[in-house]
Amino acid sequence: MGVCSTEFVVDARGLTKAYRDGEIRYPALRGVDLQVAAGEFVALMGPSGSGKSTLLHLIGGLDRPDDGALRVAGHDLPGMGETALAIFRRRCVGIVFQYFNLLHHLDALTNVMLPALLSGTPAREARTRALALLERLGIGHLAAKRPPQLSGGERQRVAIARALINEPALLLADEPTGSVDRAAAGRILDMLAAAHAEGRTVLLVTHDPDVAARAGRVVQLRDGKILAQAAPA
Amino acid sequence: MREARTLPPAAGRPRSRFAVAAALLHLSRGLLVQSRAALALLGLTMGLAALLASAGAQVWRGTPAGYEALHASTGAPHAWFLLPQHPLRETAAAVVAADPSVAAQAIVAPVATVSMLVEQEGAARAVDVRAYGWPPGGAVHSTLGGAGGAAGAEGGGAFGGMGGGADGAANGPLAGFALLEGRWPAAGSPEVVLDAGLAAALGLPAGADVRLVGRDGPVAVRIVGLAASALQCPYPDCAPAPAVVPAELLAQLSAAPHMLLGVRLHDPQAAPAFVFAARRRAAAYGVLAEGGNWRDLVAQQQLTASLSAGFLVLGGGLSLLAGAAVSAHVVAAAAVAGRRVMGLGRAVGFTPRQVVAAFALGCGAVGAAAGAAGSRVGWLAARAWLAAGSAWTAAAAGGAGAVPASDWTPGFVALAVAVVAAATGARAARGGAWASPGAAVAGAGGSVPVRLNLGRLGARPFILLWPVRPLVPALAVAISMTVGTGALVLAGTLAAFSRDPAQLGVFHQLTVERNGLDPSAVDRIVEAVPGVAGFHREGWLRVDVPEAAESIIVRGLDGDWRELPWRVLAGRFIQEPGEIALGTSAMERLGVQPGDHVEVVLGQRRARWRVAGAYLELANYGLAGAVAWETLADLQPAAQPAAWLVRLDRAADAGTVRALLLEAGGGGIAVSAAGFEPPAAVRTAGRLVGGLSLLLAGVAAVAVVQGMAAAVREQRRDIAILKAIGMTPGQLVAGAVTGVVAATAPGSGVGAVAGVLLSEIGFRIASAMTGIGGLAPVQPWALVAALTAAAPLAAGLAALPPALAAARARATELGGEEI
Repeated sequence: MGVCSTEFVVDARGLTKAYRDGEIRYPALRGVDLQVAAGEFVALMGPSGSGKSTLLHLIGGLDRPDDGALRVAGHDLPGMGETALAIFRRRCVGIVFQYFNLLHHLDALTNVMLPALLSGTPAREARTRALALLERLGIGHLAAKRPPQLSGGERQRVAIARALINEPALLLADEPTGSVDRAAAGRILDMLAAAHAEGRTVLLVTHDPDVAARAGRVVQLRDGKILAQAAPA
Repeated sequence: MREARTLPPAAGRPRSRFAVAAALLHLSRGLLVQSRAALALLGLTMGLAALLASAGAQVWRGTPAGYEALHASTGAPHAWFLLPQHPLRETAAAVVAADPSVAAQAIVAPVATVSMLVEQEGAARAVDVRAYGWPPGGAVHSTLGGAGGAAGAEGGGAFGGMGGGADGAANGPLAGFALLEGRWPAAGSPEVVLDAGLAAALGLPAGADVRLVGRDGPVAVRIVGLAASALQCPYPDCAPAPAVVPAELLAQLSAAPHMLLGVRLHDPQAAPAFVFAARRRAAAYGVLAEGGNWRDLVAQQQLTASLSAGFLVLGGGLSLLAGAAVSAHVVAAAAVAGRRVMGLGRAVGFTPRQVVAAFALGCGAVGAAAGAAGSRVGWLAARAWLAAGSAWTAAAAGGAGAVPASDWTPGFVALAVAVVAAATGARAARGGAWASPGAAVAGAGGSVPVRLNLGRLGARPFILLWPVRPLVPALAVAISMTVGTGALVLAGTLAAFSRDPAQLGVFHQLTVERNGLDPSAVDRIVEAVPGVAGFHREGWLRVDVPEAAESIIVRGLDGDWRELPWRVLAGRFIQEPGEIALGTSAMERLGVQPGDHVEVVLGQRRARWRVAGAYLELANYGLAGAVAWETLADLQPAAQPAAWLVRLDRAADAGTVRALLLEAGGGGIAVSAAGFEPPAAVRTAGRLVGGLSLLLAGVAAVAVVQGMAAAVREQRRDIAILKAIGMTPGQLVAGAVTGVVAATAPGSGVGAVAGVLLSEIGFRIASAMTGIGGLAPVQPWALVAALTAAAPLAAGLAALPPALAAARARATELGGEEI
């Protein structure tokens, strides 16, 4: 597994993806072309079922396209095995989910530490980095709390800290404000903007125009196809 | 929902219990249908438990029942005596037969112990058999008054009728014998009917030719039939094995045979007391009769069966425990998977109790079906096994068929299994049933958090995934380890006893028995053969101990025996004349301690011996003692050594020395190999324990696979998260397998310790039950340690397939809509 290239972060061409339920096939992406340059802040917008989360999953190496070429952070994802993909996710991307996806029985600190531990970072160093991140995001005092003891906004901040602990080149966020109140959503967007300001590429999935307005470019999807790309209005 | 009970029924709406039951069945089906694999496992383990428990009960009940059936169907006597040649033998027999307790004479026949020579694959083998002559040559009843009349009234008044059985249930020419194959010998023909157990041991079919060699000559005979006898336990536990020959043939073999007198009693249960009293009365005439009775044989069968039955029932209990643990596990998994169905059920109006009942109903039904099938299969398999393994049972099954075809046991076992299954189902369903319907529905299939252990392996941290409900695989491994360790200990002990029989008090390698030669001549032969390191002589007597109303066998030791390492269990071994050392059983039955005195009687002679101590005595289940030859000779001056127990040089080959002895003896001696040969019951028990440990290892493996599959299923959300944040398939597999290894390692250790302890306890119990005493297992520590280490590794291997499946799945497949 090589280093994560930051020159051309995302280069997708002709991506197709369909889900199957028995004999029935549900197309999710129908030939998507998308390029994201290093340091961009891109929002993927579209109604439910438009394929935006699927596209994010493919870019994050969580799923594989049926067809098409996909190069992310210098890696040809369709040709990689599961182990290489896991290492790619660990080193090159940080993912923030709508439903936080924290491990409920672990405290916030351990949740943040996990990707670093999986990378082989010594536990002491992982702990120091995790604590620093939590402090930076304003929730250092909640390090010992377990996710069920936190509010939605606090959980999402823990998830962002987890996504950032391995200092990825690309930050993927799937409806990161979808499960929090408006005030918390603002803080979360501020944090994503801060990550972008540090030089990270950010790819955000949302159906909220106000959220998309924080991005430098908005990509509109509908029925698995890109309708338009433009700077936010 | 409790307050719902207080609500009145809706006005005008009919209520039907059947409708409620039908609704419960629908819910039960909905809950369980998605866990078919789990239910199959539940059925498998419960069926196995029922099979073993039911088979154990059948063996326990069927073995003595087989003997009792044979005894009844062949009109066998309740008590019998072997009376040696003596001028007053007829009189003594008549007195015994005239006892008011006697209902009828069942058998009077000449009997002699002869050698049977078998030519097999160019080599000759000699085995002793107890030959019964037919038709009987004596006529006890002709010299009697009352008893003969009684015999005539019940048995037909003639030997032929008597021999066919006092109850008229003629099964053969001799009461107490049942023909299993072939036919009875024709009068005056050179034919023999051989004991089926001996024939099987020697591989002799009906139609084979053998030679019988008695004191008065050899006879070539053909085996024309195979039989079972109710007068002694089956070969090889009891030897010599019986054979039936025409009386004329027996006369050629032995001109002075013993007389067998068998009687049926008004009170069959009083047979042991009758035998003791009758022997005392015969002894008053100088006739030293050997005696036997049917109650002792029933007890012997129960003792023999208790080992096998005990292991089977123990195995059934352990399987039930393992099955309960596994089923609790799988039902809990089903409950997690069925939480949505539970929530929906609650939402449409089922009470929590009804939800629990639906789960218990489903699991109970599976348990009942598996239990019924397993217990029936076990019952029938044990019947077939008993019939195949015991000539007694085979004879009974082919004859009167008195082995119970069925009774309450299979039903009880099935019921017990069903109750356990229902109880585990109910317990597992409780949590979900009382949860709020909304939460349960929102659970959408349920999820159990993954349990991580963040450890450090050298400088690098590692993540260990614990299985859900780790107690289940740990318990399953512990149970299989317990039985597996027991099997190892039993096998190791038997192997150690075979390698070094001196541990059991067997110090010699060859036994020489004289066949007409003078004792001094045998001494000279044995001393002259190269390779013989030493020997001592033994002669055996049965003496009565009137104070305890018991008879014991006494072995007189002559020659080079004092330096042998006798295994003393209490006090000390004999050192001086007038002392006796007793086997444990003899010590208990006589109620004496070292230092006490016992008065023994042999005919008119009496002696008072001091009890020196107790020692490990295998003969006659420990109901025997040892005295110095001069002590024995004081009681019976005519006694002569019967056996020479020969110890060989370390470098000597037993086969070579045996051949040299036979050559030097010129037919005047018989030589047999000595050593430790486990009794058939012990060998059977060993096979049972071995098989059982394999079965339970299988259950444990299934439990581990099921546990890991359940872990993947129930923890899929967390596993998906871990994969999403970068856990590689290798890390997942390594973490899961290491978790299983770590979870089962304590179970393996506990199981090994339990196995060692149980084997120690088991040996003590068996040792006490058999009356031998002092038997201790030989623990194969290295093997036990290797097995203890291997079991968790095997569990880790068993966990590989589901762990690999989880590793191969993508995060989005595992995480569903949440990722």
